[in-house]
Amino acid sequence: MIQLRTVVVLILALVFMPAWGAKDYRLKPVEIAPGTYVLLGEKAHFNFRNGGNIVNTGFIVTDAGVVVIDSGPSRFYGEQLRQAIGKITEKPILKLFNTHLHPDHILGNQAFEDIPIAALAGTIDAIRDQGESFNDNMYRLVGPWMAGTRVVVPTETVQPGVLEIGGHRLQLIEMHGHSHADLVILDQTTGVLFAADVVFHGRTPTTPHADVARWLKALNKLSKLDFKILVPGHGDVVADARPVVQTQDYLQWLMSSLIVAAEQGMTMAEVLQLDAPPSITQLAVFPEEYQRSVVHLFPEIEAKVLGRGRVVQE
Amino acid sequence: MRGLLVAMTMICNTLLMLPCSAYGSDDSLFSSQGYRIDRYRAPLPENPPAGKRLDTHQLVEMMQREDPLLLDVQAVTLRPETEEFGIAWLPSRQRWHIPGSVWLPNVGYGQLDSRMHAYLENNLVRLTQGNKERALVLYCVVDCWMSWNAVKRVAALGYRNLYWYPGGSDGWQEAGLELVPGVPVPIDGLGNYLAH
Repeated sequence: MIQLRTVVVLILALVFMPAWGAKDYRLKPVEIAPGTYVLLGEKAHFNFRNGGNIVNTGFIVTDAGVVVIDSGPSRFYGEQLRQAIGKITEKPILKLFNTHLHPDHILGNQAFEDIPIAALAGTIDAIRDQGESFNDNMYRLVGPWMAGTRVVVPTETVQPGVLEIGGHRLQLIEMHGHSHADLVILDQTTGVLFAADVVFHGRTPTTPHADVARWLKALNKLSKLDFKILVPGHGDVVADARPVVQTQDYLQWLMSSLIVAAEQGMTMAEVLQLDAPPSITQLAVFPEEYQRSVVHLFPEIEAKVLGRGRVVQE
Repeated sequence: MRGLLVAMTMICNTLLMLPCSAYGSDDSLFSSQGYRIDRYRAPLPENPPAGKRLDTHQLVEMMQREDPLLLDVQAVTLRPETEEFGIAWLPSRQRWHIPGSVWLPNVGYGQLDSRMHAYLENNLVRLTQGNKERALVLYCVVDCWMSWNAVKRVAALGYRNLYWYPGGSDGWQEAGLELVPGVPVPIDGLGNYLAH
């Protein structure tokens, strides 16, 4: 006689059967300017299906060799990125930049261990400090895609300023706000701006290490740069400043919602239930990312706002 | 320099059968008895602490030749016993593992309390019927130190025919082989196996 539990297990098995076979990030570089390529990630959160490929990485094929911007969420991504570059050019890879500390941008560094990996001083410190906990966490989030991945700390400190490399004039700009140290790269030769996670496009910005006030200032500064093509850290590439405005709008809505909520004496549970306008809710991953941001930001806002209050005995 | 450090680490791992790191002190990652106690999800050494390492191909061949006991040690939440509820395993998602496996969760932790020790020991005796020469294959998922710990612990219990399959259910799936749903062997407050 078949037990009910066996039947339940079999039904669950049919519904949730995992996909078979070998993993593949299926990276497809897209040329957005002469010799300049981007690999667009999914506008989603980390999961076992996407293997953490939620990030935009890129590379520039200069006369002297290849400059790579960010290495992806795992050793396997880094390896496949390197192979994808190799299919396009035989030129050597000169340098890899890590734009900031987050795991989707740096955990492919292992595949580039033989070349200089450059980042801002603040980023290098942060990776030394938190890299391992990111590594651990990514195993929980994307599992087998992480096989063999360990943290490789950048080996070179980026000095903000202009770097002439293989006929490209790269302006290396240090910004703050999405994290303590955000590297933005403007290729003055092609007009391509690698804005990293200072700009999100069509995807809710993330705030785990954010200082939103500084971030808004950074966006202001970024909008004044002379660029032709904008590569956000997440979301589609465009030839205008729309994503900058979109990121600003989101952050301003977020902060003002949280401040007003705190002033009304709402609890975090109530804040998590708040409505948002369609321009905000249509951003990819909004429900999940909004919840995370409330957790990141509300306690401090609440403390500041309520700190001005007083108890009235009646 | 980096290449030298990597080489030193690999030589150290191979010669001493102990995980080593030339990058810095590992004191916080291993207990005084040499079990991994932190950062369980991380790249693994080449060799197990005892027994033989198997790749997927070798495991498949072995399963065709003989009848090894496949022990899945994938960890899940353990709900402790309270007044209202008994002790129970709480898997957060369906476990998919190698067909024919027995799932003994959490026995790969670096430190086991007496109940978990009893759970491991009693189940091993039951499953091997007291035969310490029975072929045992320990695994969990890719890059999980719990399978490594489990081999060490089962060796310490006197089992002499041990195999380590570090690829785990992930490696099995990667090779295109069939996984089946798994159910953990129940546990009671004394660490005993509960008959259905």
